[in-house]
Amino acid sequence: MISLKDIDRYYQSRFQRTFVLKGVDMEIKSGEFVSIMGPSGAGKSTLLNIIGMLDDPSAGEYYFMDNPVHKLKDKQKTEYHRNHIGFIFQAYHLIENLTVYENIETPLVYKGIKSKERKAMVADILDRFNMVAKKDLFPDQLSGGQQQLVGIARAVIANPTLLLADEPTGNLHSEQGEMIMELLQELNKEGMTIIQVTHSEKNAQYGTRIVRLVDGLVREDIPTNAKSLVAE
Amino acid sequence: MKHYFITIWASLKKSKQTTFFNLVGLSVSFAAFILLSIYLWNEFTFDRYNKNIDRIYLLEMNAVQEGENNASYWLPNPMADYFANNIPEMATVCSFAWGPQTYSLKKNDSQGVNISTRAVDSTFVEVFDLKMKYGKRKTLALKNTVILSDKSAEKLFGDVNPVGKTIYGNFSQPYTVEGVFFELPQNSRMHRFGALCSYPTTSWINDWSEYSFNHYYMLPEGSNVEDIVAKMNASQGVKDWKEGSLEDFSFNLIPANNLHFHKKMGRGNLLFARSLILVAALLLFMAIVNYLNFAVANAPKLRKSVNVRQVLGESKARLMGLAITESIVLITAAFTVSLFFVISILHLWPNMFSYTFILGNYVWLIGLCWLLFAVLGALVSIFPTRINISVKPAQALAGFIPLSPQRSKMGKGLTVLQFGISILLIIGVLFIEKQVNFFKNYDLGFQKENIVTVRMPGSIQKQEQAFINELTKNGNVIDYAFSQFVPGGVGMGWGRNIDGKKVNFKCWPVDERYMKFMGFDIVEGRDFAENIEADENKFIMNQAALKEFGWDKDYLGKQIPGFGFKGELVGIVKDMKYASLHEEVKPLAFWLTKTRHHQLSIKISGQNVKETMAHITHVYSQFEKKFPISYSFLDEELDYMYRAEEKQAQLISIFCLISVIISIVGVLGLAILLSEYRIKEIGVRKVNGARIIEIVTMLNSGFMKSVALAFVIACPLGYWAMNSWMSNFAYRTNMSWWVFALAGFIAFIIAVISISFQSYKAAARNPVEALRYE
Ligand SMILES: Nc1ncnc2c1ncn2[C@@H]1O[C@H](COP(=O)(O)OP(=O)(O)O)[C@@H](O)[C@H]1O
Ligand SMILES: [Mg+2]
Repeated sequence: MISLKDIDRYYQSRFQRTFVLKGVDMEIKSGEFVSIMGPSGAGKSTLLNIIGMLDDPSAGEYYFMDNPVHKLKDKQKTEYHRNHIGFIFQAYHLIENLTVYENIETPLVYKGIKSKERKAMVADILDRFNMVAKKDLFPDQLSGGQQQLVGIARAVIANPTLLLADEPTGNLHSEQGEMIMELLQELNKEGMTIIQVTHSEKNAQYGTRIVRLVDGLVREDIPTNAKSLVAE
Repeated sequence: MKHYFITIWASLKKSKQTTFFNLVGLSVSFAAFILLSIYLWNEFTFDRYNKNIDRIYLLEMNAVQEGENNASYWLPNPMADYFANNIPEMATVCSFAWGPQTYSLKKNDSQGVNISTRAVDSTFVEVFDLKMKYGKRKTLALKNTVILSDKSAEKLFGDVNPVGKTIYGNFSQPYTVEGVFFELPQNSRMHRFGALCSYPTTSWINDWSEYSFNHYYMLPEGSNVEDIVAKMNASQGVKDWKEGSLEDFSFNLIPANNLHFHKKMGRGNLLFARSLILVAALLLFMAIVNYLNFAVANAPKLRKSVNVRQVLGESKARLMGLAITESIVLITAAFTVSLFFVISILHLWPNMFSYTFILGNYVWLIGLCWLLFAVLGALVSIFPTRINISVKPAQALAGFIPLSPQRSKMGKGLTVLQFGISILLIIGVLFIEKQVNFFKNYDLGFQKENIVTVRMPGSIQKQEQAFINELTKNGNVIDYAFSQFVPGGVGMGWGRNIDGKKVNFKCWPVDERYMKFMGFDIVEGRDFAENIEADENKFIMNQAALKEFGWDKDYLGKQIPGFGFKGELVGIVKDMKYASLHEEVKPLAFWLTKTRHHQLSIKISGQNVKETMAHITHVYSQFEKKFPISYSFLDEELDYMYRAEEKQAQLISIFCLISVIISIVGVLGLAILLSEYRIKEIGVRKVNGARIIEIVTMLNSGFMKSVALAFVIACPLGYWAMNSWMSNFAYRTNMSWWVFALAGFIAFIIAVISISFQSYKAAARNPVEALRYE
């Protein structure tokens, strides 16, 4: 589904190039649950943003479902955002002045789904995430874990093929973190491809594959159950 | 203290763009406000340089004719003397009469200097203020003396002291210069008089039928005007005059301190002055609303730094002080820029107002403006600081900063208010312009183009035919006719009793050619015969006169009494707008006469106008050596009646537009701030599949709703305001609905363009930056 070929990402200042990603090659198949790990500043978020088409690589080729992303126009990328890709953020990034219900509904509105259908879909997911009672609350009335639940609900409501999560549990207690990870695992089992960035070995274990990034280079790319050679 | 300013500088720099918009808006509105203040101060302190002005009153006579009140201020001398001699409070009277308009240094000189002069009583220096440059204030008691303003003295004599010298009024009457006074202030009724001469002593001035003088009384301090007016009207003299008169009349004293705005006697326009007060107030209000809007919108940005300081032990008072100092710095900066604007404007358009402003004279007024701005600014700046201080520091420091500030109802209300006032002002401007155009393009009932009117001195009237023969030798002179008056200046009023009904009508003496020349439309009867002998002293009346007399049949052939003769009514002419459109068409009678040919109207081809005028001037100078030609173009002269209005309309329009621009700048600045707050939300929405156009629409929609709401509120208000404004005109343009629609449309378009620009900038940003976790 995802194919990265020799991806570079650098920032050009007047005198020098700073490489954030260098020669990244990666294949991710449909149905995988990949955890990207690495020290702070390694380029994890940058890689995730490139995969999510929020950022463009400086060099290299990127194919999403066999389409060359590096040749797509902004408008087409928006189409992918609408139909294929969902995002979850460490800071949740809920819209403050919208209710839980309205936050979850947002992607459906942009997708052009009719109001009646939207209602049914939001009701479904609220039910599934056990949040029916909270639907009229505003984000600042929820705990962090609940806010991230809303974030996930919003990310998956349009049933994307790919879910991208940048440190989804970074701001949560371990207990809430576990709940979120279990939910992601469940979604993966239902067939959703997931790529997450995480600092926690334990959270990484929920996935099927671990990519270790150091200084913009892929140091290791192994299945979860294999023994890591680089992890401490 | 230094630390203080470093902090302020830092906080201003933090929001460069909005600070810039804030400064521009403030300085432009301050500049406009300062200009208007100076102008309005002049208008409302008119004549105030006279320390006695509140005790000075002008004599008014009200004659009631046919239920209509006719006030006159040009009254005979004996009448004024009677009151002065019989009512003790009215003992001090100063009368004004016409004086010479031209002076020469030698008798029958070939050239003179034009100096507008009033002849005044010797009490003048007692009643009115005058600062003398040369000579004593006790002057004008002697016969044929004159005092000159410093400007006039310079015109006649240059730099030398002219006291004791002799000048000749209208080339013949010798006057001895008794003194030189400093020119009276611009904002006084007597500013335009370059000289004052002693009162005439000839016998005709004591004639009861000479209605040619203004009389000013200076009442003792603390006297009750109403009582005095009652005394006047109850006096034996007034009773006796009424005995011998057909009309009912009464006397009144009107305060001289308000004569500038008097309908008949003043040149000021109270409606205009008041409109400008409103405009000035709105300008300032808009500027302050902008300022408040910025301050409120900026508050959350500064919250963290305010709270860090609080935690570090800064007192609330000091924080307030800091906010106020910051505001004063900003206001003073804007004020300084605005002074630069004011100076440039006065330099570029020195005739913008009816006064010439010398800024140095108004330092105190400008200082007062600064004080007003600073105080308002300080008050406004306290507001958001209070909000910030009242937030619990712990709460703010926890890092909970919302994606977008919950814009308070007040914030939205302010925006609606701004748009609303802008729409109102646009409606006002459109209607004012529409009304002025309406006046200029009104079908007057005659052609006014390519007509030159020349004033005929007696010397030419005596040899009219010879003059015409010479004049018509030029092919560009197409037609001509004589009359006493020309449209816009018909000044003779007759009250005549015909068949038992008395009506006041204007009388317009004309020659046999005039009706045809002007193209007046005869609707009944006939025009005057070409042979003037056959129809001399006959009349043609307009329809308004017919209506006023109440005649519906057999009126042709009626005998109209003239000056010691009676003349037949031979025709009826369609009402034409022969006076200002400010009033309804009044009853009018044309009187065919060989006399009173004071004005010659000449129709010219419109080609080679310069050469044609040179011809006319040349012919004139062959017949009249002394008085230079005085001519005018009829269309210009008629337009001139609306010149004041046009100029006023222009001024109001300019200031309204400034005010609209300021509010646009404010709204734009606000749009920038708000989109800054929504940067994360925009990112989230884009990641969730929103297109740029959808984001722009979202960002705009709030403002568009404000515009729509403002429009709904502004329309009825505008309708009401313009309706009452237009009730000041006898002939008024329609309250067309499209004007309102256009105003709304303009506001909408301006808002869309300015806000979309900013919205697009915000929407096109890469969401990655906004969503990066820090
Ligand atoms: N706009 C930018 N300009 C220059 N350097 C940047 C920019 N954005 C990110 N970086 C750098 O790229 C590197 C990788 O960032 P990121 O992908 O966010 O790392 P992480 O692995 O912690 O998520 C960091 O060193 C960061 O400083
Ligand atoms: Mg990161």
